[in-house]
Amino acid sequence: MREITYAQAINEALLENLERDERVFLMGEDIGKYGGIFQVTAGLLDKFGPERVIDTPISESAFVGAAIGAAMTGMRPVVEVMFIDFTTCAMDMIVNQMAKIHYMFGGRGKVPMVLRINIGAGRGAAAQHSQSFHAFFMHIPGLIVVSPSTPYDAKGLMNTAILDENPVIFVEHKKLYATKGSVPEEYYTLPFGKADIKRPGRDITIVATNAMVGRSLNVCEEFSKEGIEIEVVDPRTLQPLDKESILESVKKTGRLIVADEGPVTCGVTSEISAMIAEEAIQYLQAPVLRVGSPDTPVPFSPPLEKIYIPDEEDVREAVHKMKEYL
Amino acid sequence: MNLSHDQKIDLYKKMVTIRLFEEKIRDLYARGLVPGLAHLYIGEEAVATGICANLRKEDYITSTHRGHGHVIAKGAEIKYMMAELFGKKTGYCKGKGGSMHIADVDIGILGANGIAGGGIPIAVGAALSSKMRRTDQVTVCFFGDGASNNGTFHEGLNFASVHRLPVVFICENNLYGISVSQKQHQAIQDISIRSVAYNMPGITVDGNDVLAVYEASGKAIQRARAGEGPTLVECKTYRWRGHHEGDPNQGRRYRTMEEVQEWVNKCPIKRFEEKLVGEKVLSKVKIKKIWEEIEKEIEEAVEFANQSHFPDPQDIYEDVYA
Amino acid sequence: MTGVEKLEMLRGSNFSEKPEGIKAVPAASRMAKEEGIDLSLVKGSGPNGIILVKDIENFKVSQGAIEGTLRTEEIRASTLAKKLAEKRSIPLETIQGSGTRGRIMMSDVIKAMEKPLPMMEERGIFGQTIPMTQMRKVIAKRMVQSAFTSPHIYFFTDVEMDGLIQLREKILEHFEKEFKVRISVNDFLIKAVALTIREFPMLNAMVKGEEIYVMPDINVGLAVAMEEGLIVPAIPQADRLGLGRIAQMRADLINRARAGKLKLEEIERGTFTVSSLAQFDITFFTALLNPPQSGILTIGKTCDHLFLKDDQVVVKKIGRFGLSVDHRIIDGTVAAAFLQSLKKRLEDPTFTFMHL
Repeated sequence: MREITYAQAINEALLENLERDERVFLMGEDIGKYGGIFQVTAGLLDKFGPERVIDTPISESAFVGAAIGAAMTGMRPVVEVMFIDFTTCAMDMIVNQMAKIHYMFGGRGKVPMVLRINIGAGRGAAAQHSQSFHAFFMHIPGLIVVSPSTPYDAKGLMNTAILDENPVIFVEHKKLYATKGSVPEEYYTLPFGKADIKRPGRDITIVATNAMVGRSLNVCEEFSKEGIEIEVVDPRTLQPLDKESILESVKKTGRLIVADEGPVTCGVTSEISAMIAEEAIQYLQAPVLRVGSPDTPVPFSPPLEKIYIPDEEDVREAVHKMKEYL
Repeated sequence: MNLSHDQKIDLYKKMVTIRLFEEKIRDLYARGLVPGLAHLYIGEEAVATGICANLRKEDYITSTHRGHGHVIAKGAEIKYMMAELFGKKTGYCKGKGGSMHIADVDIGILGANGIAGGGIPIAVGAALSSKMRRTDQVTVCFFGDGASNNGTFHEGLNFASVHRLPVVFICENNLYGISVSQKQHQAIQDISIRSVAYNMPGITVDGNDVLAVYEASGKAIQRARAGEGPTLVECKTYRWRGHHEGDPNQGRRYRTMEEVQEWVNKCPIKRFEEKLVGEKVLSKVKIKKIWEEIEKEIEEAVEFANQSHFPDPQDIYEDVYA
Repeated sequence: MTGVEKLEMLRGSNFSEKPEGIKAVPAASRMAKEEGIDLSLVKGSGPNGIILVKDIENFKVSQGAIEGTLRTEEIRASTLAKKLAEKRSIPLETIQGSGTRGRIMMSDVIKAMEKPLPMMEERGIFGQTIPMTQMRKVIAKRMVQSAFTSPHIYFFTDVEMDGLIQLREKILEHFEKEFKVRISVNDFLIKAVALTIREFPMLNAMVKGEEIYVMPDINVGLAVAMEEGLIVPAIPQADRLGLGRIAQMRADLINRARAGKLKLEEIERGTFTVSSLAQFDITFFTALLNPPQSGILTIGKTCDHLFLKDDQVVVKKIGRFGLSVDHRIIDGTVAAAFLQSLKKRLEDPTFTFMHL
């Protein structure tokens, strides 16, 4: 099977959907001529024209809000907010409108749109361009939150997102855009609420999201040599969250590490830890360990940024700590 | 507007400092010696220089992601700026902020801002505060044509006008919001006309003519200082390089090289230089000397930044809270 | 900084701290509860000694080895029962006691008389192949290990026990009042052995490859025979304990051995073994070392012997003591000297036991 990048996989999904469904259109800053700040929408303006690939003014509230209105009235917009950090400029639209319309209107109004954002530090982009607070959106009922870690998952989940009748927050990662993976050429979908066991194991479970999946997988080999088999569970969607798969894995291994790039406090990792504490504590053979960012803004200086990011080393150290309970 | 020779030379020196600083960053960045992002001000020097020449140390400015010019013009020391861009502990923000977040509240720089339009409400607040404290401090708010479409622009101008706040809104219209041209992102050509909606004066000025900028902004600043309320000043200018260092071919994706050359020909520094030579304020010798001196200063700043240390690991937790 | 240091600094983590009162990880707690295991008996191998699931599993295996009915050195029987059993030549060991704590009552002896002789019942066992119990397997393995790893040499000496027996008689009542336990000859022996080992550290050593490791504490074990096999709980730091404490610990260990409630640690800590068959008509005997120990003391029955002293015939109570040692690290002269020193201590008990 051919290998393409994460960015190309999403591009392919967008292209195909623009082709097969005339209700689909794209909006965002610099997505047209420039092709998107990370080139995810490259070539689409040329193919589909400025009516379906719209370069917006710097007005997040306006264009996210416009997408809501368009979705409510028969269209299927896929909107890009350039960095997750900028969603704050449209927070009312996302939280008070997008998420609540279907419920508030008793089901008589739906918002079938996709809001694409990216998270992640590591490019020296500093405090206002490097955050990973996707947990915010997990916390707002009414929103679907999708977070693919591979090109294969990205394409399939984007296709599902566009079909879905609910507003979907599609969380990409700056550092994943260039990663490659096998992706089928044909159209396919992947279900929401179904985790993917990226690597089976029996001694320790790592539930990892997004870029943390690859980082976790990278350390598994060295521990395998010691006879420790780590199971890596990728939830793929944070809302709905595949609790069953996570519980099953924890019941099997009894030892859980949760890894997500967001700050640890009140993060994705916290939710999963709490869920385990409620529903599987009897199976725990060790305390639950969270791997994430420290509770600080993202620092600019390169050595500090490196410390900030939860990378392979942090996962490795977490596994070392967990070894004491083996 | 009678500027003395020395004042004019100061304006000239300031613009050269900005130009050489940005060129140095351009070079270092290309060699991978500066981390992160860089949004260079080359070509727009007259705007920051002309405006800030009217300001006192205790006046405030808010800046943008393309803020090196603003902060240098307001009086920031280039060695601390350089250190900040290098991510060193000795930088203005102890290495924690980087290019887009340089700040020194002591000299009235309320921060460069990575969010388009993010500085507008903050500037309004500073103006509100000086009014409440009954000082005659003025706040100058820089933003671009792109930000003029953001909610904060409209909310900010409205608020400032209804409360008659001592703030001057400077729109640096460089015709692009990253890759999207002004024609594509708004229906108007002169952004200054939006002032009408907020019942404040609106002026458009040639942003590459430092004296014109100086004069126009000078009037606005006077108004504000006299308690007569806000003004919107639009400066037409152009950035020679791409939106950021790394923008392929200096923005080739969305603009033509001819267009760029047109504006390079209107270089603010060259124009002013020719004028001053014509007025016999400057000579070729003096010019050379000025450039050399400033180059030396910049080299020293780079040296300072190179010698400085990176922050220590535990510094990551410092200053999350006061 | 290392990743761990970073993690600690950034997280202020106390991942490995075991909070007060928490003994076991949740899965282990659940397992213990389900299987009726007393967590206080389980040794934890997790950080700060927290009990893990594998510790419970290990405990179950070792507990299986310890369980079994206990045969103590003293058969508890009523006076009437003893008389009747003696009269009828029924060994008390073969009678099941129905009184408090297994005390044999006269009714039990009568019942036993009515039963066919035990050996007749056990006839059924002849011709059968029975599987080894877990404990028997472990013992078999260890005995082989001992016999074929340590070259044994044996030494014997006759010890005049009169002084010791008299001393015991003298202090018996007072001792019991003070320490709530009846002092036994074994208590004196344990103490004397421990003091002698101080002089001869090799008797407290173990062979580790090409090195000799002299164990830090002198923990004297007392072999206790059970139906299942031999078990040897050890008195820790016996050289430093007073006789009262030794007696109390000895009684407690034996009781708990009988009830199957010994901790593995109480057995594993032993550094030297004392094995007594004094209740049987055994003059002397040899024993195999208890691995990884290097010395074991055997005690046969104390009997009256006749001696000529100054042309007079005198009676002395003689106990025949045996010593087996690991010839890899203990030579004849050392063993002999040890035994001689021990004999002297036992024959001059007042001095010996005034030592502390």
